[in-house]
Amino acid sequence: MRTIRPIADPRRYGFAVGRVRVLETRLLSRATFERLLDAAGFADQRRILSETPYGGYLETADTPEDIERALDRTLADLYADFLEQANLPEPIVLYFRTGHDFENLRGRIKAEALGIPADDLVVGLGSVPREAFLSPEATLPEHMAEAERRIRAAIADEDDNLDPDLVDAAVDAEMYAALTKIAGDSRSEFLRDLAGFGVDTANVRAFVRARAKGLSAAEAERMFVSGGNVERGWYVASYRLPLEEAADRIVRMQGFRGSDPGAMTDVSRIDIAVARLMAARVHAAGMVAVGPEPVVAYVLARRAEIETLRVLLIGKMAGASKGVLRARLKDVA
Amino acid sequence: MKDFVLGMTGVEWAFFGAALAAIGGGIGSAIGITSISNAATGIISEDSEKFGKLLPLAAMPGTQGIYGFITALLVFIFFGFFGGVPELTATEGLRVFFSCLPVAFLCMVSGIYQGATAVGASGMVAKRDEDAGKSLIFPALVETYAVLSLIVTVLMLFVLSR
Repeated sequence: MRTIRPIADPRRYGFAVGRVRVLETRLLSRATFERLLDAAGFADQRRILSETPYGGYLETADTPEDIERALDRTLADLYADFLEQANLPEPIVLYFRTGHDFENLRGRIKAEALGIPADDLVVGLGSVPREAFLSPEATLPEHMAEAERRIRAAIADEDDNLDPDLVDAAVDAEMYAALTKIAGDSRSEFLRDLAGFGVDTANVRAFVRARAKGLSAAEAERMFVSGGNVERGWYVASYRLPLEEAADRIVRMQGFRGSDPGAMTDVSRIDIAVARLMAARVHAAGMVAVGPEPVVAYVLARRAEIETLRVLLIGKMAGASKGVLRARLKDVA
Repeated sequence: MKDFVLGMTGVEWAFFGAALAAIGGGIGSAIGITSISNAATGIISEDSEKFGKLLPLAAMPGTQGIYGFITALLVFIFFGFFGGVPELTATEGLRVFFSCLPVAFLCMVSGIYQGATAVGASGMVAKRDEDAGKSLIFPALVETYAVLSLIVTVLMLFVLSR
């Protein structure tokens, strides 16, 4: 088992917080997002972004694949130049990297279950090199190999065939367990709260998707993960209730108070509703004078910014309507 | 321990007080300056033009250490330590010791908290150049209580030295 140096002294974050205060001023403004939305095409969008930190990355991009690669590079540089260089305690770095490790594991297992190459499903942003997920012969670190064994055991049938429909829930369960463990070891109340909220939002999303698919309570139960502020049993009990009653219970949960009950049970609106809650949490964390909060908030804000750019640039290129893109824009900017 | 304390001479008590004032103020300043310097170097690493505006903020928690040093110096001056070892009874020495306590404790605590306040204020400087002047006000308010503790200590030492 890896040992993690605990973080308790807010002074350790001083340097990183100082950097964050300047870097925050370079985040894209609402006006820039609006200009991107109103742009005639990708060439116009690229011109607008040439004045921002994204300009250099998108200089030679022409296709959706180029944009994906360019934005992945910006995220990789954020981790390499900020997370790794800011003298941050190990758990903070690990918290972000580990999420990508499990996304890569998800890609590897899904590719195998669907019989497709894993290259496009695995990115190199985690703590484990990308190559380790691409080749069955490559050795994963022990903690990831153990997680993979448990996931495979959970989704394999008697003939050892993997069920692609069960991959997401099984990977989520392992990922949130790992993130909760890192957050717990960090001794940071904020990181623990964030990990718990992450589990809650994943469960609410799973809840809404299971209802949309018409799954039974027993089938839905397998999609809920442990480690959140609300126990798995609560979701199962709520699942048996009429939709309106279930929505009413969700908006009374810690962190979900004041949300629109309609959005919390609508599969087409849940992602945006949850992203909005996270954005509000990130904004509040950014107001803390010193500690892990502003640092984590900045990384989350940059990640949200990159994801929004991904939607706006690729969406525009694919001919998505302004209305659809604007709906996505509302949750982060 | 009891025998050691009861057996201390006046000179030893006076030294103890002077040392405590210097140590307390020094600890407060060191921690406070460390806090704000960490944040300031982070800001400067991204925007080196902020150096001049952040320097006063970083220097501000340093005053508590100076107050501790002044207190120690006043003990030596008022009670004639520079002319040789003075004649002080244990009671007189104990009075000097108690006189040093306001600076010893308040400067330590205010130095630490002034550093924390300065970190918050440095965020203002990072975001808006024009707020550099305003950013000095809030950490300066914390300074008030360090100054008051110095005044109380100086007055008590002055009265005792007459």
